[in-house]
Amino acid sequence: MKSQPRLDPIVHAPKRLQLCAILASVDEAEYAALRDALGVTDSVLSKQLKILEDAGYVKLTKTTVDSRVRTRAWLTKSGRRAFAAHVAEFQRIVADAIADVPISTGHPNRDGASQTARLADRPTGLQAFPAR
Amino acid sequence: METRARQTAEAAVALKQIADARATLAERLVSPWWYYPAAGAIVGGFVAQLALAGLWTVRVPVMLALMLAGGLWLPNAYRRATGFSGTRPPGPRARLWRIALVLVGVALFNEGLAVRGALGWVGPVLLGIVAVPVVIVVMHRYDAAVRAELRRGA
Repeated sequence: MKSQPRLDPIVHAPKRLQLCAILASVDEAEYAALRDALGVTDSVLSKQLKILEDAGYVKLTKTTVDSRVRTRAWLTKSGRRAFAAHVAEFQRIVADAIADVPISTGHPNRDGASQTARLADRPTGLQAFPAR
Repeated sequence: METRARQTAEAAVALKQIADARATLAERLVSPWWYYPAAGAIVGGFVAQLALAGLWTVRVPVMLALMLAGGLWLPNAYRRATGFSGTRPPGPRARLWRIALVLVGVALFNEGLAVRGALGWVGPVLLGIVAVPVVIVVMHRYDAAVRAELRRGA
């Protein structure tokens, strides 16, 4: 899913980010499996799921099997979009930083001459540091 | 400038957290030993039931049973065993194996129709038997590709 890079405050918290990363890789997940995979308590998971559910990013269903209630969670379409956009923004930030490093240190630019020329024309953060 | 450096560091940490979560998921998506043979038997049964051409009173219940087994029982059993259902191909290799799985199913069914015309009821039964290990191998490869790509952060 290609998304416009955009940070989302709902997805941003570390545990919710990891929760979304797991849910984005599957269709559905059981509550106990999520709790064990994230290594959190029931109350922490419940709170994080509630925040995502209130934002419309997660759907929860409860079914009773052998007189035990089983909760299942899945990411909604808007949840998948928000998570993909959030990850895309992180990747953009890191890629921009990596792209700036070769110019200031003199290492060959992996992305070719055209990108080198483009980047050379703009000030980069690392150019402010004295050369060693 | 400091803000940018901090932003980059935060982004890198967040991407690492995502990679860790996916790696943890990969460790948990281990199919039970009977999962692949059961899937192979269901697909094999679907091919073999072509041998029952004309015997609709037998064939329809067999087809329904196989559809229920493949569409409901098997996914539910997988979810009960792993806690997760419906893995999504995280990268190109897993996507290829998923396409391969669909193509193998279609090819086996088509071939079943062809051998029924040439060999009679024996053809689909033999092909159904051949389908079992083929499906086991392809599904095993798909699952392995999903786990590898989740670990690698594809």
